[in-house]
Order: sequence, then structure tokens, then C-alpha cells
Amino acid sequence: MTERSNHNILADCLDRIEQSGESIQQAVSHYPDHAEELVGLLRTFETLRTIDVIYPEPEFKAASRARLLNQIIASEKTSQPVPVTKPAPLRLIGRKHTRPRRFAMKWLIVIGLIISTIGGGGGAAIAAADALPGDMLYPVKTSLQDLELTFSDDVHDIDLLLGNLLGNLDEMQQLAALERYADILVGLEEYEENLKALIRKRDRISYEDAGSEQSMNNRIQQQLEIHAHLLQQLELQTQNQLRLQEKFQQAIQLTEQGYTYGPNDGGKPDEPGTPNGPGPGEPQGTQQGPNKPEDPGSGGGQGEQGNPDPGNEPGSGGQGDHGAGNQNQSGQGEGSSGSGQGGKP
Amino acid sequence: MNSKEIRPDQELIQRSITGDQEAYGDLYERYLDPIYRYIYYRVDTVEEAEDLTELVFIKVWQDLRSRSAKNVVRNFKAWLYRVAHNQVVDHYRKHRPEQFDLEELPAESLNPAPGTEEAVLGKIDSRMLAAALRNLEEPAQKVIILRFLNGMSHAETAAALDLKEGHVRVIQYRALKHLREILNEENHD
Repeated sequence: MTERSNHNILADCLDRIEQSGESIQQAVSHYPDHAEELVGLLRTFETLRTIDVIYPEPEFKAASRARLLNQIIASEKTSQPVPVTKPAPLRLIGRKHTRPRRFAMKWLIVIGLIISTIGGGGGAAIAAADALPGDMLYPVKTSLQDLELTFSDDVHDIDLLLGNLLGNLDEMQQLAALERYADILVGLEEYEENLKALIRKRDRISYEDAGSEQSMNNRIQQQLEIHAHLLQQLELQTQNQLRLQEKFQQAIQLTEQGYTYGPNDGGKPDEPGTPNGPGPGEPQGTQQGPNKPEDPGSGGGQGEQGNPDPGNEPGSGGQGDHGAGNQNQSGQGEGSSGSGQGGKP
Repeated sequence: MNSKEIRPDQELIQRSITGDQEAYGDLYERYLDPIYRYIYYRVDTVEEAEDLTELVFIKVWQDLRSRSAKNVVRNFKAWLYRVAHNQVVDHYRKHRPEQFDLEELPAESLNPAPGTEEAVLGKIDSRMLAAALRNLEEPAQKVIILRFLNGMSHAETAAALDLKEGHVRVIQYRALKHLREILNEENHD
């Protein structure tokens, strides 16, 4: 008997066990001449099936998704034309009252930026991209974010604000790493401003159909859940800073309110900025905040960045004689290995 | 009905190419577990598996965004596994993998009282298996992981690895045979 037939016999026995639920003995009984070898191989297979199915840690899943979104947003921003402008002097003074984005204020910002663009180079805008709260150029960065919001429609505003919020969290992580705790307070203020703007926008926006609205609300909820989780990580990371703890708890509460009280549930608190408890519409049990991570310091490395080629797409060349293979675009088929498997080691 | 569950890969890929982050998020949710598992069994630690998994999804997004709508991904699953494979290979270019040493296994797993094959095999856990798999040829590692640890059929495995089904069967036979030898080697000495 050749190896060629052996591998088909083994495959048939495995199919019988996996798909028809036959035992090893039953499967092997169809090939008595090969019984000895088959039993050994099938026992090895059985052993593999008894190993607990591995899943990524839930903490990793949440944090990884957030980091992925961060990366995506960052890469999207860099791939779009960046407005090369110089900051408006008005906005350098402070940005406390800009979030309501009153019409007149919007135009003051725009005019200021246009004037300064004409008057000088745009290096400050580029340099400001990496500015952190407390940096001299940070108001420039937030001005540009405001400007971007000014020129986008409502739905795009939501995307921008969600991106800004993730950016705020990233900034605070960097500040924590640098032990610039006082500046984290500035970052938290900025985060809260963006969060309030997001909630106002969400509540005001009108959709063409219920499906779009539901989809948008789901997205906001998912992202705010991630934000709450990241805030909790930051809170743990800075737990020796008592002043920050209270502020972080406030921000977490606000964030949780942001996704606990959707625009249509009738249980929204009076003002999205008030951390005074949920009020009449107590959060439902299904909407608990994320669990606190055990490892506050896991900033999560991005692994290596050294492989510029993510891999040739199979079938598009360089695959030798493998052929196109069987297309299976169902996207499913994973995680079903098993009879009696489950759980995490 | 939740429309998310029934969206085929191709639709999500097309939308991702145009920058739809939600669509890519759905692909991420769909493939995170199997890709993580695929990498987990090919590296030494959970941390390495996490880092490389994350990197795979970042690279795939970047590549999708660099494509035009016409430049479609014909076999996304296969491509994803290839990116994951490349990440593992690239990782080991910089970090030499640990070689599997049966002497490092707990004594009770290697010297069960009756010395039976079942007793040895029955004791292994995921990290021991990962170490043992490292002694197989790469195609064998991949087939074992996809077929038996990711629970894919012969056809699904073939599609994911962009191989013919018959080729998968051949690799599977050799892989199980070799793995059995590795796991029993010490016990027979």
C-alpha cells in the first residue's frame, strides 16, 4: 500500500470521526489491513482534540481593538491632505469655549487660520500633530480638530469626534509614561469636552432611516465601551496620583453614561457632563462597564514594524504550483473543532 | 436578524477598501480568534502571540486601504493566514525559536506508570503541543493547527493555505505520523 492511499484512508477515517461521530474502532474497521497504523495516528488526533481551545484574553481583545482603531485613524489622517496652516492667535489663548462651536466662533477660527496661513508657513500645524496636552502647540492641534469639524457633515463629525477621543486617550497614555501627571488633567478636560460634543451631536443628528441610526448608535456604544476600558487602565496606571483618580472616575462615569443612555431609551441623564449618578433611568444589568484589567501597565507593544510586506495574496502570484485553491469565503468554519472542547487553559 | 452576522467576507472587504472601519471591525471580530490561535501555536509566549496578532490586523488594514476597488482580494482567509505566517517568520528572523526538548516536560507526562502511548499523549497541554509542533516542517505545523486546533475541514484548510485538498491530506498524514513519533520518542527510549 502506497503512502498516497494511506493519506486518503486516514483522511476518510478522520472524516468519519469528525463528521459522522464514529469511534476510532468503528472508523478503523473499514480498513482492517491498516488498523495498526491508523489506530496510532487517530489516537494522536484524539489527543489534539482534548487540548483546550485557546482564545485571546478578553483584556487583550478590548485593548487590541482600541489600538487597532487608533492606528487606523492615525493612518487615515496621515493619508489625507493635512491642512497646512498656522494657528490663529485667538485660539492660542485658550479653547475653553469652542466646543459649542457657535457660528460666529467657527468663522473666527477659520478666518484666523486663513490669515495666519497667508502670513506665514504651515510648519506649526505639522509640528502640532504630535503635541500633547500642556505643550505649547497643543492648542494648535485642537484648533485644527475644530476646523475639521467645522467643515464636515454631522455623520462625519461623529467619526471625527470618536477619533479625537481615542487620540485624547493615546495622549494621556503617553503623558502617563512620561510621568507628566499635571498635564493628564488637561488631557482629561479635553476628553470630556470631546465626549460632550459627541453626545450632543448624537442626540441632535437626524437619520434617513432607523437602521442607520441603530448602526451609528451601536458603533458609538462599542467605541465608548473601549474608551471606558482604556480610562480604567489609565486610572490604575496612575493610582498613586490621588487628584487624577477622582477625575478619571468622573470621566469613566461620563463615558459609561454616554453608552448606557442611548438617545432613544428615555433614560438619559439631564446633562451628559454631570457625573451625579444616572438618575431615573438606572443603567440596566446588561450594560455593565468593562471589567478592570489586572495589568494596568500593559501598553501593548505593536510588535515589530520591520516587515514591510504583509504577504502576497495567495493566488496572485508567487504561489508555485499550489493553484488557486478552493475558494471559501464563508468566513466561518473556525472554532468548531470540537466535541467537548471549550474553555481556556 | 442581525445583519452583521450574514455579511459575507467579500462585502466587508470591499467596504474596508473604501475605508469603512466598522466593516473592518467585523472582519477583525470574525478572524481574531483563529489567527491568534494560529500564531499562538507557532511562538513561545502569549505576549508574542498577542503582539503578532495585532500586527497582522494592522498590516492587513494598511494593505486593504492601499488597494483600489478593482484590485480585489480573492481569498481573504488565505491571505490573512499568509500575513500571519509572514509575521511569525519575520519574528523568528530576529528571535531564534526555542527548540522542543522532551526533557523539559513534566516527568509524569513522560514516565506514566504503564508507559502506554495514550498515557503520554493524554497529558500534553497547549504549550507542550506548541513546542512539539515547532519540530515539524512548516506546512505540517500549519495543517495541524488549522485542521485540529482551529477545527477546519480538509476543504477549508486547503482554501486557507491556498493548497489543493489532496495536498492537505498528504501533509496531514505525514504531520500526524511525525507528531506521534515526537511525542512518543522519549517514552520508547
